[in-house]
Amino acid sequence: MKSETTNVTNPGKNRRIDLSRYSIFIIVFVVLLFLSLSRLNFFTYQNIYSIFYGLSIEFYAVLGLTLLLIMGEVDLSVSSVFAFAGIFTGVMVLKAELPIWIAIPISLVLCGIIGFINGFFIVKFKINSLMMTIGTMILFRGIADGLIRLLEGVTYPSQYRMISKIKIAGEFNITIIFLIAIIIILEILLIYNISFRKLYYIGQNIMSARLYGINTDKIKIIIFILSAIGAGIAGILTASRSGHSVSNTGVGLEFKMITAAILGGASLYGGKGSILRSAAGLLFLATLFNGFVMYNVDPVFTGVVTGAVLIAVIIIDTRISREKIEY
Amino acid sequence: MSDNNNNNYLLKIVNISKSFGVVQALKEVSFGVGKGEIHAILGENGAGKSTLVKIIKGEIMQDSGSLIFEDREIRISDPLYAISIGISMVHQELTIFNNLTVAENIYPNNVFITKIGLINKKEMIKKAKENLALFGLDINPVEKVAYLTLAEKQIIEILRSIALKRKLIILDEPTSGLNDVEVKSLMKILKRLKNEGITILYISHRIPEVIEISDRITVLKDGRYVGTLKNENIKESTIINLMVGHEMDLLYTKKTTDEALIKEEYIVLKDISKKNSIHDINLTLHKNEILGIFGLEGSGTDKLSRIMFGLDYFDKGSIGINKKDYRSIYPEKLIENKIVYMNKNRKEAGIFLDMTASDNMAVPVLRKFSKMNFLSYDRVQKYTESFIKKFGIIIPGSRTKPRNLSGGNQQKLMFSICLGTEPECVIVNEPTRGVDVGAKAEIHKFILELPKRNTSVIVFSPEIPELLSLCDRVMVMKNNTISGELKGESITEESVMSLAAGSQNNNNI
Repeated sequence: MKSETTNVTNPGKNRRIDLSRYSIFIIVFVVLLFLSLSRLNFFTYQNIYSIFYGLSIEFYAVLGLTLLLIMGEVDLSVSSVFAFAGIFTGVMVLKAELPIWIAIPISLVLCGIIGFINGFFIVKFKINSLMMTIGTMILFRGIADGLIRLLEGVTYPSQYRMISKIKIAGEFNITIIFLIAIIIILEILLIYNISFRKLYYIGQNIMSARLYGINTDKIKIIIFILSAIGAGIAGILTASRSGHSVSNTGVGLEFKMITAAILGGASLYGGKGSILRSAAGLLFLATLFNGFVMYNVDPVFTGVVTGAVLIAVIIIDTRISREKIEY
Repeated sequence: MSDNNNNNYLLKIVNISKSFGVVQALKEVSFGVGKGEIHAILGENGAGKSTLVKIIKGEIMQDSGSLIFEDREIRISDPLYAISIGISMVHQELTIFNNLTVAENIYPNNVFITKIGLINKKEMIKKAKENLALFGLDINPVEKVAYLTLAEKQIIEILRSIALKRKLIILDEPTSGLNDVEVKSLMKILKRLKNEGITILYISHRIPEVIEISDRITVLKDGRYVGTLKNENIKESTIINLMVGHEMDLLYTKKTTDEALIKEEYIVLKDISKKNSIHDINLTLHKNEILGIFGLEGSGTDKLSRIMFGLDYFDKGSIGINKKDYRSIYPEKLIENKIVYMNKNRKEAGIFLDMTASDNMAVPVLRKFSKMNFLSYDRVQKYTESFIKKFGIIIPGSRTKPRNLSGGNQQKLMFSICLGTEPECVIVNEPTRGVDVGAKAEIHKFILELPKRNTSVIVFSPEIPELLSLCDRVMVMKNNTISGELKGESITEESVMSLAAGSQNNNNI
């Protein structure tokens, strides 16, 4: 028996982890504070509400992606699925004259199938998820571009446009209520529900997870399906909100979502992440871009900034995960 | 410290200490490595050998103390610096480029350049051939390394070190994957290197080998320097006593089987075969029996262990559990059948290094500790604490991450994860890999108690004494199939080894 005492604690280490856990909220707060103080028209009810409304629509695309990142997987096809779902729903409503309540479920089922294909190939043929989903991203971008020709810049009928604008109490968009509800529910599930806990085990060490009886293949496929459906919902809501679709809808969205999730503490190396903090990451980006508008920054810079932030967070992520990578 | 008066040291290690979290891996270790000698470092697993090596080659920095290389104090902050001053290492896990040829592996950094800056392949191949011949090796320099045996790869790594004109070559457990013939040829090469004036630091825990090859032997134990011995008429028992601090006999006592305990057939493997892998495996595990499986590297024990736990598939045959035959098997199904597997490389699989001990303990029993699929952290914590106590795991608390624990404690935690499922059968693969002597004895005790609690055990182990002290029956593997079965009194080191090595048809290398 060795003589080390058993009551050694290292509070320093724990404290550091806790701080990094909440750093995204601090960053968001700082940006909000800065913009509120420097721009008069920033901290108005209208502006803040519109930021949250936008968030409540795009948010769906980061949900499944966060769950995938927890498992150490990634889905770059979210942007194409996002575009495809919005456009395909429009085609069904306009060309096939299907009612919206039939068109949307059909679209989402198709999205689910895309997710299944992603997951199935990745699991069965042990393909790297990055490469596989780049494939489906390009494939469905092609399909979306083909479909957009059928629409030729038409505006969607009101039944489609209304979907994203349903309000309760006459004032409040229902999507915002959903945003809050989903964050709370998923956050609780991720901490306490044993099915969701398994995602962390898979992300930390997939071999160990298998060894202890976790059906890693099945879980991965399910989450890829969820990711695609989430992207589909976001795409449909976005198309509904803007009333029409254009051919480059959602281009670059996947990287925005990955940036948001990693800002929120998820890691490309798996094992970490939370829905609440991913949403906060997305809020940070939304606020930043809103600030650009306030400062009349040329819109082309949003790409530059997303890229720069992505590189920064990945450097930080890799540094934090260094131990894990090297063993 | 014995001979400090000798000033002809290539490398002097002075008061080096290093700790990882709560674990002190090295405590003020000092000794010198003489120029042109083969200096062995002996110690049980966890004695601090690999930590010391990592410091010398610049992978990690010591907390205190210094290194003096060629009479100059050096601070090796990264491996490249170590290489630049002439220190190189042949790894346990080889750093070989499988996709390149033998010659390219010996000269990876373009020493032979033509006038216009291209690689002079002819010259490189010629030189490689010369070097290979020098060591009596019949390897084609243009062959892809991927097709060579482990031993040959290792030798190529050594040749690389020579080609790069190293002064100090560190060999970390170089014979762990080699058979007897290969070990002999490696020894020859080392002696030749020594004659050429190269200093060798030889890390091992195989005593006979060390006695055969080294000039001086330094023994470490629990991170402390025990002593350096001149290799003159040295006895194995002297070294063993230094290494373990007590008689080995306490650790390994031949098991006496309690026949009354062993019951009906439980797990039956029938004609298990897989293409290009193991073939015609037949074995039976009885209820409450401890069955050992032994084989030298490459005999197929690894493949068998993976197939038995459903991590790999098999083409032919069946696995029967409780008289029910299965044509395929996977971990979920085995866990349902109350069979758990303890992997040999816990870092690769078996433990979640960066999740809390509680999280680790909870994995296979998530359902048991949840209501309506919601996990009760309180219950998991209590459960974890009870196992920490039961197995005497040295850990600050149930929320500590295993990464900061010593090998032995990690192993005990892995044991707890498995036994927490209240299994009817445990398949353990190298149960005491990378743990210190004390933990080893404890783990053996846990395993021996399992049959009394109606748990059967299959032990895969490369250490025959371990199998002698644990098993009622031992199956020996050779050339991807079972070569024999030994029971009770007939299990001896000699009988196991003769089945495993089978001298007449040893046609490796």
